[in-house]
Amino acid sequence: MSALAALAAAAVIVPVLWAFGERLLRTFAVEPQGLAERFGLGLAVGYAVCIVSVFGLAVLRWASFSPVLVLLAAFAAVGFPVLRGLPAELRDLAKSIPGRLRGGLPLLVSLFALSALVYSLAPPTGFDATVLHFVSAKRMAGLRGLPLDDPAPWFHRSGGLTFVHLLGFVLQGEILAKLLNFAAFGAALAVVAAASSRLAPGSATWAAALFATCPFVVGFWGYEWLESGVLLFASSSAFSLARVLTGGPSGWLAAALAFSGFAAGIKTSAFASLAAGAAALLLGLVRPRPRPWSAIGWGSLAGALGFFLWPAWNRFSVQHALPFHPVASLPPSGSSPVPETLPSALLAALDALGQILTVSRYWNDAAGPLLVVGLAGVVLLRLRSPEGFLAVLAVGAVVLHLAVLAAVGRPYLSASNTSHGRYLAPTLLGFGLPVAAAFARAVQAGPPWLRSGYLAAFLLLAAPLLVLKAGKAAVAAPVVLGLESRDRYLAKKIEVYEACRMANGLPGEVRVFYLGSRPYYLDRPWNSVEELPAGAARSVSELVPWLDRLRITHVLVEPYGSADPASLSPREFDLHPRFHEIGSWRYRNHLRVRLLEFLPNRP
Amino acid sequence: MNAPTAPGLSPRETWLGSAPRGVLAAFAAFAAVYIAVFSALFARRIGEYFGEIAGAFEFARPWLERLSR
Repeated sequence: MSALAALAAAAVIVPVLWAFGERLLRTFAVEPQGLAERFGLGLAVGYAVCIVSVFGLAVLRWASFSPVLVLLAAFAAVGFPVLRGLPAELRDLAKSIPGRLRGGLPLLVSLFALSALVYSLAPPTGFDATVLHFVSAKRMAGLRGLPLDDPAPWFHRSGGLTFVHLLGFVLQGEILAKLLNFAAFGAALAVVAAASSRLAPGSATWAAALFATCPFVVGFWGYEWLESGVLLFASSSAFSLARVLTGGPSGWLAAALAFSGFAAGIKTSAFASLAAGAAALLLGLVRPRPRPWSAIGWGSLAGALGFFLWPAWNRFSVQHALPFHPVASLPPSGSSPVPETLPSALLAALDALGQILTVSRYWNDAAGPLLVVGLAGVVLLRLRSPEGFLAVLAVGAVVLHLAVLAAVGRPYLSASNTSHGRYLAPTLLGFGLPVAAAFARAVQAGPPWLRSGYLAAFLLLAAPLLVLKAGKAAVAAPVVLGLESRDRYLAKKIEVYEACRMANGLPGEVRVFYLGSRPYYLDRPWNSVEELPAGAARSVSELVPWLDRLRITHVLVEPYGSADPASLSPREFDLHPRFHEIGSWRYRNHLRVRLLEFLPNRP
Repeated sequence: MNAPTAPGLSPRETWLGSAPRGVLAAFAAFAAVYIAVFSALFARRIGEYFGEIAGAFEFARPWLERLSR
């Protein structure tokens, strides 16, 4: 039922944001052509404005149903001229779908998209989403806005798309937020296909196919990560740059600058997206007179707004502007040594480069081999062209990312950090996919042995990924269709879910100390170990005074992922007289999730 | 002189078709080695993940066993 309601809500909200964004683009003399361009760029602008305006409502603590609905109505009023024509256009599109699906590649893309849609309609289970991203949005929805004094560092890691998620949470709930994330991927696909088509006419299908079969896209499309937003804004900035390079009006220059700022503003690790902004600035400054100062000014202003919005809020609320937050700027696991000297940092950067070019700890952090092969082909064979410029931009973003880390962010280069692929993939895909797809199209004109080899490599990757994506959709389908209960599905997917459910059902005043990593499904008030000063709870006896001070009634112990759990052994809790176990559930590796009652101190 | 145009492609897209064969061969060799290395590493990772996916279908095991009898 909630899946149906969310689908209906998304079917209204996404076109409204698209129409509003397209109208805004046209106001600034930026004219997208064709449905793919209009949808992708329109939604990108719609999401950018949504981020700023919902953030504004959240600051005022007005992020509740009625004000957000009024905001959406205002967007609909502005976008009405575009909105009015959409039903007829979409009807024509629907009529042409059978013809469009005749080829193998469009069918393949549709199967990937359908699998992702099914997964989008299931309750959130993404690890980071239930640790950080959706936890932030859920907490803000509960408070109707931004907390002024939230001491949890994870809350301050990322902004940007979180406010689009917040809009979904406020208007319907978590499934709508997931669908808005799904639409961000869809819009990115449209932008990549349109950009590739501009670079090499007829390459849109290849672009869509390469997009849908990138391990990163397969892994994250349908989930709740923020990378979808980085990908959307990064690809939009690359598209805008391509329009500048092919003689488009100066409005595209402003768009490239603005999109670049919004991409980098989503999370600290996306700063490489600023490379497109720097390239746009350079292109604007080397243009023959009269220089487009107005476009440079407006674009820089909008880009700065997207980039500085969240750090500025952090500076105001907790006196730390990301990326300089003392805890949040460190990688999740800081246990391995940090490279101290420049040579060791460069060696570590090479290791990170290896992760980006191949696969890291997780298969879904890979950008994909055809992207790298396409970029290499363009650099080797067609450097002095718009494709060549974008290929150099994609490679330059990787170099910039690693150089900045080697110079000022060495903790990120510690051997335990296996997330480099994930940090860079959205930027690399956004800048590089149109180039790789244009290259794929050109391969069709090459010798038959090259064409056959490329197609074989594509299928080698696409086949297992499609089986995997369809498998994930099959796991989620029963809960989406109402054949499996939400509780049963979540208990199967999230080890800590049953403990959260029990805590949610406890009678009376309950405040939980959450010693773990995935608190999304915990609906009672809670505090986490991250909120304590570093090293404040090295043993259970040291933890007890903090629990008294926070008025904790229960402790939920998840044996993985919290900031300082290693020293707090389960046995210590058993031996301490103030803890009484009321529930225990199986966890991986023979460990157990435990819910403990924290008994009052009796003299 | 313009490179010959493949059916359905504009002359602009034939730049790869007209590239020197030596350069193309070198590029193809790089691409083949790279894709082979990537595929080997990727297969190991994705293999682990397929195991997890199979685990999610455990609920169907009794039904499958009954069916196979």
